[in-house]
Formats: sequence, C-alpha cells, structure tokens
Amino acid sequence: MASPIEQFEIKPIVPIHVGGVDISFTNSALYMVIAVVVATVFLTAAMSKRALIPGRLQSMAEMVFEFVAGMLRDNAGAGSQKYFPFIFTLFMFVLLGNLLGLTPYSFAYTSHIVVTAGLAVMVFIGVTIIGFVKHGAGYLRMFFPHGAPVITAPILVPIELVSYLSRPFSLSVRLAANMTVGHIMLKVIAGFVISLGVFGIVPFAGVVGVTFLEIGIACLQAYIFTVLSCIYLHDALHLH
Amino acid sequence: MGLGFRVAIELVVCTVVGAGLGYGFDVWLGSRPFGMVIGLGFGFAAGVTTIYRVVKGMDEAVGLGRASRERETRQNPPAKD
Repeated sequence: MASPIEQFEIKPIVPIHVGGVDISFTNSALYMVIAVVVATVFLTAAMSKRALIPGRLQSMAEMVFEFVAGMLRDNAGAGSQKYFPFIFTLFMFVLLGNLLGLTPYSFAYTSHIVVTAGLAVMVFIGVTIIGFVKHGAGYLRMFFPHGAPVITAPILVPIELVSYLSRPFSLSVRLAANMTVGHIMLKVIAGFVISLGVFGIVPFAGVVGVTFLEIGIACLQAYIFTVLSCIYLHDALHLH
Repeated sequence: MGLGFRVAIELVVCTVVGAGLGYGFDVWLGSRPFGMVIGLGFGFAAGVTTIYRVVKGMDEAVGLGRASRERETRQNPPAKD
C-alpha cells in the first residue's frame, strides 16, 4: 500500500538551476499557475458580456465579487476599499488552491506550510506597516489596556503582545493543517478500498462522504483566512 | 470541527510563540532557563485569552479596549463589570 504522505512530495517538472539555486518549475508551481489561469479565465469570460441584467456566468462572478466586498466592508470598516484587490486575490488564490487539490491526480499547494506562511506573513507585515503608517507610534497604544487599571499593564501588555505576534503563525498553520489532515484522511480511507475486496464498498462510501466534507472545509478555510485578514486590517486601520 | 481546530491551533501556537519569545529573550540576556519559563507562562495566558475571545465571538480582538467595546455592543448598554 502506498504511503499517504507521498502525495505531498514536491517533484520538479522542469529543472532550472541558476547559480547553484534550485528554482525548478515544480508540481506545486504548476498548480499555482493553473489556479491563476482558472481565476483569470473565469472572471474575464464571465464579465465579457457586461450585460446590465446578468446571465448565469456573470451572476456567478458578481456573487463572488459581492461576497468578498461585503466581507471586507463588514469586517474592516470604513476606508478599507483600497485593499480590496489584495483581499480578493488572496481569497481566490486560497480557495482555488484548496479546491484544485481535491481533483484527481492533483497537488494541493495550500497544504504546504511554506505557501501558507508566505501568505500569512505577507498579511501580517502589511497590516503592521499600515498600522504604523496610519497612526505612527500611537499604534503601540493597541497593546495598552483601555478599560483596565494601569497597575495590571505589566501583565496585560506581554499577553497582548504574544497574542498579536502569534497571528501569522496561527493563520498559516490553521490552513496548512486543515488541508494536510483532510488529504491524508482521504488517502488512508481510500487505501482500504482495494484490500477489503468485496466489502470495499464501505470505505468507498466513506471516501465519497469525506470528499464532500473536504469541499466544504476547502471553502470554509478560504473564508476564514480572508475574514481574519480583514479583521487584522480593521485592527490596524481603527485602533479602538 | 472547524471551530475545534481553530481553538486548538490558537492555544498551541500562542504557547509556542510565547515560549519562543522567552527563549529569544534568554539568548539575548543569558538568563536560561527563566526567560523561556516566563515566556511559556505568558504564552499560555495569551492563548487562553485568545480562545476566550474567539469563543465569545469577539474574533480575537487585540487590545482590551476593543474587546470590552465589542462586549458592550453585543449586550445592552448597562452591562459593565
């Protein structure tokens, strides 16, 4: 029986070595390119008609747009409209990464901590820079207790600091762990289908059920990633 | 299952980050192992605080001010401790 961990291996498709650095085009990169192409083709084709009363495809694109725009407006408050392109890109990238990983013979690039950590650190550093640019040194007031006696400050400030600094880690680990666990579960249950012979129908039904669950989790995790980014943006834009 | 995962990851990550910060403090000041122990304690406290805010629906707001204002807007006005 094949190991369920093998599906996460990075395999170079086009080996490229520049001065001792390995920048090969891997299967992970291939699926990232596929995700970008799918998103671009979907949005461009859907909006090509520009009908005032949208047809089916245009409705789908408008629904996704309104969903992300509403989420950004509700969670990040006023003045957040200029960050919409980034948040929309983040949402589509993570969503397509999660969903494309469920197609057969594919590779889920969001299951690798390096990809999710890259996205989460980008969000964290961006939000911190926005906070400092907007409020100057007053951004540090966010860690000071507003409704508590100043005596408790030496205890509350380190706690708030740790809580703030753990954000990129928890954001990245949550997405990578959910994807990895889901895919390993699928492979392990599917491995039983052949070895049980005629009773293999039971793990097969299990695989169908778990795949439905994984589709739901893929969409939910993309939503959670984006909504938390919007909340961190709110904290940076409006301190209190 | 999503909420359970989220709570578990928040607790572990906050504790590890607190311990890591404490350890970094140690390496800087050479006060092994007390820095890491204190960092572990603060990290665990931060993790519990974050989980409390997530479960209460305040969505891990950083800063006591935002958390207490969130609580006010969710309950009726005379709801201060």
